[in-house]
Amino acid sequence: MFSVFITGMDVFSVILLAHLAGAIVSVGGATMSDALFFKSVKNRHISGDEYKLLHEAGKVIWSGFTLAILSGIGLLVYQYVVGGEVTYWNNAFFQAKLVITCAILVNGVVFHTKVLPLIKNHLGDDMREEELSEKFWLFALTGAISIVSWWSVILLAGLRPDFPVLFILNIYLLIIAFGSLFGYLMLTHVIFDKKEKDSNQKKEEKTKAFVWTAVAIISWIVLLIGSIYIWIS
Amino acid sequence: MDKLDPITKYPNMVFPLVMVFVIGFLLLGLAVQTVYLFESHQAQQVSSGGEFELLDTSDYSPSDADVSVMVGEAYFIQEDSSLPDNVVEASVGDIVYFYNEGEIAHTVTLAEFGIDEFVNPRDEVYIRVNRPVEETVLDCTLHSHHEGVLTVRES
Repeated sequence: MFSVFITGMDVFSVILLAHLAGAIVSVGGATMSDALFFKSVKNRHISGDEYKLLHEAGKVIWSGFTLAILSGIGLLVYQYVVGGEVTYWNNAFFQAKLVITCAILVNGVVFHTKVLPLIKNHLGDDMREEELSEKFWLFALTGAISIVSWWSVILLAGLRPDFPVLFILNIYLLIIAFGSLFGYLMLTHVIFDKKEKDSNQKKEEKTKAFVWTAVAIISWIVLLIGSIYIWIS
Repeated sequence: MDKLDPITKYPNMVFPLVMVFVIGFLLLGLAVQTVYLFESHQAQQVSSGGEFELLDTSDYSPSDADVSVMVGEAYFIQEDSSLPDNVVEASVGDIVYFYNEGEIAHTVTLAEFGIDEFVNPRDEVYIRVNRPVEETVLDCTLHSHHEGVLTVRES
């Protein structure tokens, strides 16, 4: 019966299926993990149960990651055995995928050795405690790297853009920078904002934040257009 | 009360400032790379036939040409036309054939399109034009050093 099921499936299809399954599990886990984190900290502390969920989500991501890596190596080996060479190396999108996969690995190690233990040591504590709040940047950075990297890998595999590897990585880093900045500002200015504020103060701060953001964005756009103009002329 | 509340340290602007600088550098990098890509894409289009395609001489003969141009001392002369010397006209999709029947080598240069071909006596150059062009400079940069004008119209 089993042989009937796999009839028509060649080795390549099986390895590719495993690769896709690993990627799907990992991307799903990373997306869920980030959403779970923001949901958990809404009440300004992380409970034991919430920590367990985050920990379990991490296990799911690692399982998917391992499956994706092993099957990815399998695909390369298969191409080498069948074709005598690995042509993937020459593709910029594949090189970018490799770099991003390494970033995922390093980010995962940092998350499990720095971030999760920190949360574990402060279960139930107010997250505005100095030791935790000082590390908000790390929370934002690892979160952004995780989600952006996983989705980047999926998009690269699906779209196979015909751009130089540096161009792809530049965009990737730019999205991470924007994402981590957004995550950090969410943590410090929205979720863990000052305790006591009246509505007027909040309104005033929101207006200030809006004005400064607009000024920053307009400045960068002017700088960008100016640079392009100088470059062209 | 505020003094005891560690959150009053916010906004801690070190991380956002670092990120703003990082974003700035990355945006600049992206802009530079975009311009470079755009330029190389255009150059590639020229060399690979996006607009002006330099054809392999061995694959073509004068009978394949739609427009024949004789390159000589101080002139580009279009055959079978009443056009003055140094004025060449073609239509989109035409194969323009340049040849040199003199005794001195010349060049066929369309600087705007990255074409710079050396034409020895009895050599041939075939170019296919794939888009309309309004009076681009057709240059000979060797010996006589003269200019012509090439116009490509919609067919």
